[in-house]
Amino acid sequence: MTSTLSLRAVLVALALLLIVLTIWSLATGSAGISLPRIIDALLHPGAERADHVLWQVRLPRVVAALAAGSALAVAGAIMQAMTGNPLAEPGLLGVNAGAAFAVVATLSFTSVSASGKLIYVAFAGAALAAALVHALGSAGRGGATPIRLVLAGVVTATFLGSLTSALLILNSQTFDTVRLWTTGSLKGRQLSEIVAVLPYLALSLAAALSVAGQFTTMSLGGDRARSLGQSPLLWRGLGAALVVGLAGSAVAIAGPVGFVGLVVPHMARLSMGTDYRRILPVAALGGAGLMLAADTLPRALAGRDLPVGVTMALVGAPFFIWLARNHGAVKG
Amino acid sequence: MKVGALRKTGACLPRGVRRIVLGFALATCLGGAAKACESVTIEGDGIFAAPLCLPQSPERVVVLDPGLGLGIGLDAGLSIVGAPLERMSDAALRDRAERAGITSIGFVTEPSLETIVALEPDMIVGFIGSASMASGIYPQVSQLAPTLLYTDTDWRAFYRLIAGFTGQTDEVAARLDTFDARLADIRERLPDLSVSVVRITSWDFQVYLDAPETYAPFEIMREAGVRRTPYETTDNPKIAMKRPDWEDLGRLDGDILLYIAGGTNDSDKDGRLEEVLTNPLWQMLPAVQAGRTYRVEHGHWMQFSGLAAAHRVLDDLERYVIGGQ
Repeated sequence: MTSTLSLRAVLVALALLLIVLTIWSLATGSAGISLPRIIDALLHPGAERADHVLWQVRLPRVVAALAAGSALAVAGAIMQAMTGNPLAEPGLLGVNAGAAFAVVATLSFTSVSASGKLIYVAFAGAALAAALVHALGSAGRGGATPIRLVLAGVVTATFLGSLTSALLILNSQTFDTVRLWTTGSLKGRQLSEIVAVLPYLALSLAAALSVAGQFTTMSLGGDRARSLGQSPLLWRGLGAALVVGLAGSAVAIAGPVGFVGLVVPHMARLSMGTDYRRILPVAALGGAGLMLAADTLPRALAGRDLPVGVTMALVGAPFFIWLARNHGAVKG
Repeated sequence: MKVGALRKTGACLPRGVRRIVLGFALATCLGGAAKACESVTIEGDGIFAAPLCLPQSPERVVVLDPGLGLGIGLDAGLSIVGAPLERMSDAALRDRAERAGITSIGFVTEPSLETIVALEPDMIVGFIGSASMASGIYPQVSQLAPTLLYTDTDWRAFYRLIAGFTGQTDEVAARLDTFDARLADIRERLPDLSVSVVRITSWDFQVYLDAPETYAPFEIMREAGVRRTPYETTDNPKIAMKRPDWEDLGRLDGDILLYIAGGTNDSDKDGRLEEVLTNPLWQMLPAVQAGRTYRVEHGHWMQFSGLAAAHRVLDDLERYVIGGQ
């Protein structure tokens, strides 16, 4: 069966694919710079226009796509393990709604409006919303159960969403800026902005990968996890913290990009089986690749810059259907 | 209503007039026709739901847009009683409207119909710019008072049209002629240089094109014969604006670069402008290298409201394109 695929072979293949995608993406753009010139600019940065285009425009975008894609995919896998719900994705923890609300509120009530500063606002909003969801989900006896977390997430996201809409109706001037935080896009990201968030993302990613086995236990359900010696309360809290670190940084970089966090974990599970020590690394690389492909494709094919959030569903949905049909039913 | 009086026709409607006099095809109808109009009948390409029957000299006018409708209305001496002044971004025009004792009818996209009713207008005017938008407004407001919605973008014709209601036809025509003479003079004196114009907002770059249908200040540049770069020029009537990314910015390679910042957004206060001006990709633009970049005011470039703004656009062309060499 497919679950006998060698992890090492899959990771090597994915890594090679990522390298090819990265070069393709770096060579794609309106300025018409040749591939050798791009590679030269990458290896020997100069001060010509091509060098600046590569280092200021294209490379930040590739780094942002890779980072946000892998973070969202891993966060989605953790969410699915934590809630035992195959439809769970990072947005269910309120991170997207929190980031969007924080940005819109900041634009409405303060004089901050440059996107370089909004990235921190988005990150803070995502973290606060997730903390609220977790607090609501673990209130009362028994603490956080999967179903409570999901309900708290839905309620919080809906509540914040309506507050965001209310602010937007009252202040239509902010609408243009807000588009990024409601659809998800990688356009115009500066390297300094990404580098500011990257440590949180990398740290969360490393932590998630190093405790991947715990998520396998968690995915068996609360009772069985407890009988195997795992504290469901502790690990749900840790899992939520990791999702905030991962999805919060991703939403700060790219806005709320859907689909990748839902679909990539399933793709990884279909090909690697149910062991999260195998699922998480594959999801990390797969998510990075899918995000980069979705971001580059419209510019490469049509010369148009579509927000990655829009392309993601267009690219992801057919591929997911193909995968599901070829590898049997989706296993929760 | 000189023209109208001369053109008393049996059908109550003058024949279609060319776009130059667009909208100024007025005719008084002193009975005789089946549906007699007591005042003036107005018809033309840019008039929504034409022919309209409107008062000859309206005394209580409500204006539906805070831009050209309000600016030109005030310029041409229309007695305006209401306009959407709420959250209006052009502070100078807003002050002028408030000094004229105009009551606010709310925000432009959601005017208070109750306030409009309370103002008891005898005419409602809007510079709407498109028939599809006018079709969404007309059925409601036309129940409150005779409504003139202008669906074209020709602001000169709108001046002439409005002047017909205030008896200032000759004065307005003279002011437009003065402007056109100045435009022709500048056209003669322009050096053979290409000009790029970019608006820097807090979140993106916007380039209004040299296009068949474009925003008024850029239409004036086009009329003055200012040469834009190939990236900024198009024959497509459906494209009026582009949003270049940092990579596309290199195509704004005109000899002279005019840029607009701030105004309805805070790009000149929130650090975005410095970030752009110090970026190497900006620094590499030919005009920046040659020291030929000039910041122009948001007011008359982005909130164009009539002849005063049009003259200020010409001031900028004179100062920076002709004088800056």
